[in-house]
Amino acid sequence: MITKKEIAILKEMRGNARINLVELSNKVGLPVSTVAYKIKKLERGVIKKYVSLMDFSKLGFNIKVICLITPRVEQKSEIISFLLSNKQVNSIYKIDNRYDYLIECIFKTMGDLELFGDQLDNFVTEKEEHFVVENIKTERFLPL
Amino acid sequence: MLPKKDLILISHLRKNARETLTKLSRKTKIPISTIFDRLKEYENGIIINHATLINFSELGYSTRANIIIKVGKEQREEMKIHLEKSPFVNTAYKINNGYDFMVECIFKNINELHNFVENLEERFEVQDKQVYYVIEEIKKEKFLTDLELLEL
Repeated sequence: MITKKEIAILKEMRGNARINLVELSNKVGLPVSTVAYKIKKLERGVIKKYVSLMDFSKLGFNIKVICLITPRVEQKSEIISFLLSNKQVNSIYKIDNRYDYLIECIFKTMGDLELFGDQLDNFVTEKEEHFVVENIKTERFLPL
Repeated sequence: MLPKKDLILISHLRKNARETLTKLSRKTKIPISTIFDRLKEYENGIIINHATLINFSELGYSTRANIIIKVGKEQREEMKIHLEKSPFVNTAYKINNGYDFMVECIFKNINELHNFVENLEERFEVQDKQVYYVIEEIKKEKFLTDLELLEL
């Protein structure tokens, strides 16, 4: 069972994973050792990972694409291996409703995207692509 | 493009944003003071934030969906502000190819999702929408976690 104090810790860490234990302890009103213990507990199930979210366009990766895909029935496991090992695939979700997977990919050039698209075409029967024109918000959901 | 050493530091932050300066220094062979300065610099530009990714289903939020929406041109800006402010919207993108927005939303149950969509349709002239329930998250925020990609 998760406590209110643990929720308070999660809320503080949600948008600032690098917050130090002393600051966190002051914010949630618990001793540093208790905060450290609670973080360890949360890391066993509730916290998935800590990741620095980047504006990849500032690193030269200007193209972000959302692809909705349906693989050929006989290639479902192959496509997952391909997508898991492909370094341009940032995230993969298994979804319902017409398509089987939603994938988010990031590329430096249109050539890279085209090459990826050609590789993907070997596995899919249906594909719908949407270019991300603007990031409005990223990972901002907070538990009540 | 940043020098290779910076990209290596970034890849470590992508793998574990909470890594201590000492460990980052050991792994990248960059002095701690330099890492401290670089982090400050990145936080004012390249880094949006250092996020903690949470398994929300463990907290009772069991319904997750990606929704793509098409709205009239004159209501696009208004909808963008609405989605940005909505507490249910975790991530929102403006997209092309027949739709205007893609939002990833998190709810306690299907009823909350239903109300969210109904509310959107009441407030705006939604011309088209597709709701894709997330059954499983297979890979999340893995881009640039692998040093091999730096060769790209």
